[in-house]
Amino acid sequence: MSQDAGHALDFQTLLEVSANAPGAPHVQDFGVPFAASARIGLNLLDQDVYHGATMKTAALLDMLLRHPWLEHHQARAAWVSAEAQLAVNGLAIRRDVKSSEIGGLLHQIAGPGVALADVARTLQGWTERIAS
Amino acid sequence: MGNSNVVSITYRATQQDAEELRRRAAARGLSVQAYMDRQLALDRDEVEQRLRAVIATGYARIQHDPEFDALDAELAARPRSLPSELGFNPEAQARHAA
Repeated sequence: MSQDAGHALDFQTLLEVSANAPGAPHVQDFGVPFAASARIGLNLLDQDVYHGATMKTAALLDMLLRHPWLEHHQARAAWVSAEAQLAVNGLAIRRDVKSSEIGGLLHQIAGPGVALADVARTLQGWTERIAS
Repeated sequence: MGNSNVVSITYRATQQDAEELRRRAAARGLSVQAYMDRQLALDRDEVEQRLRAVIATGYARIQHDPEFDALDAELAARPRSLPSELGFNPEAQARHAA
């Protein structure tokens, strides 16, 4: 594939994100961030299963929002993890994206669920390349 | 351009890169391996610093955002098991080890 497969955030970084959440919440289920990191880094038959930075971010949000794992501030931790996941791939959320739009997407993922390709497409429209 | 020319250009570029690496390492009195290890460590530090900044600004930006308050509360209210109920008790393990 010609498009960059993207880099995956590791487990330790996800723990660092959660440790920095307001009030330093306890991780109540370490398996969730571990599984999230393993999921987005999965490579089979020499191909990333979640191809590209925004697809990996979509899968990460799906894992971190749909399973209880953090004592509190789980949505914030999931979103900041997503921003970190985009950042390691040289991407950032554009400043003109409204928090109501972000909140709407996160509510959808955490609630009824959203197809990963749709989340990735939305994120693609919201991101810009970080100036180096 | 034939394939052999592509291979030849790639080979020359690789040789130039290697020569540049040797020159830079020698200028610092390091072996090429030690120089590359140091560069990698610097890159890692830079990435970690950038990540810490992203994490800090990310939380700061949404600190007082009611959109997140509502979803945080909703997720915190979902049923869950505590780590000890899962069979994971690091404090007991630490006490046992001491």
